[in-house]
Amino acid sequence: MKKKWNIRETGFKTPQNYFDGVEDAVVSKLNSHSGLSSIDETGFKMPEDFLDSVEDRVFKKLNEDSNSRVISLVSRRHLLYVTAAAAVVLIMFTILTNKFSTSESELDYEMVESYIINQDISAYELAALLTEEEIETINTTILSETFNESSVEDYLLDVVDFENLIE
Amino acid sequence: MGKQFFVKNDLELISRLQSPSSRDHAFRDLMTLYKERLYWHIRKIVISHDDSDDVLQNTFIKVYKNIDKFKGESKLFSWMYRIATNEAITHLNKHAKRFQMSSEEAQQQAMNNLKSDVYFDGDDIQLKLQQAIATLPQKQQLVFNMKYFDNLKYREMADILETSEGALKASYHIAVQKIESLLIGD
Repeated sequence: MKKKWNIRETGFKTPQNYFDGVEDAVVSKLNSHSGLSSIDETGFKMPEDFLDSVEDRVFKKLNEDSNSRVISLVSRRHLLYVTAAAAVVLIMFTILTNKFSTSESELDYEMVESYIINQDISAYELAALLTEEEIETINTTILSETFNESSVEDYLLDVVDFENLIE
Repeated sequence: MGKQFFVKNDLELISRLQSPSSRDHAFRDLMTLYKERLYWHIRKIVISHDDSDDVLQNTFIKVYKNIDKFKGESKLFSWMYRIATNEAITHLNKHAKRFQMSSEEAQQQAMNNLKSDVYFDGDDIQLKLQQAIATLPQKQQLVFNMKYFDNLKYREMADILETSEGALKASYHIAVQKIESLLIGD
């Protein structure tokens, strides 16, 4: 057919290599609108050879667990002394309370507390007032009931700032 | 590897695992047999590869330490899946607590990191699917992943998650509906 004007092209153009990617683009668009049925895999991958070393790493960790003793941030002995000291304070407090009440004097709790504090008695001195047997009783009845592993772990997670510990 | 293979080997493995003389060797065989399935199960829950590695190791250590308590009421596979699931969820909760976030915020953060994760090569639709899964409640996520990607039977899932098959079917149905609407709705 004879053209009215001598114009052979429209003037439109496409991005370079546009037609090379048309198939992939259509399939991708098709998938993105077809919901779940088009997805078979999660898309997750793992490092090459990762699975080959799992057994050895688990055994290494198991050996480390059995060879190393956990060093507690708060030593059990120290905790024992502090608890013993608290018990002594409690006992003294009770005695003093009874004494004041029998002599019908008005008990000033703060005064009793500051008296004990101002005497500058260390936890070790207070603990020395107790026998080994009494300390052991405190250990078994108070420590074992109050400081089990999970409650210590929960306490650390809730209260302790790990960044400070790392520093 | 068919399921028959696992079950047949389970019986032999359990007796070797519970005997002190063959325990370590049997434990290595157990890890070789199950490491890949457990890894992918954990990975779909905790998302990051490094966290999955930690949880996988802790799962096996727990299995090793508790193998004497395994009474065979369920399949070894279900028992380990259950341990792995609990370890993974505990890991997620501890992570959220450590960074003072809710579980939902922690999941959202994991999703934000996924696009730049070198161990994720999913396309846009796979990324969108993971984001959609993350919007589900925890139990629905588990049910969806175990059914959709792992092709587990409801009976096996009921054994692992200690719940009824009916409840699982309902959960899966709801999860699929939510995900479909999120994927197609965009």
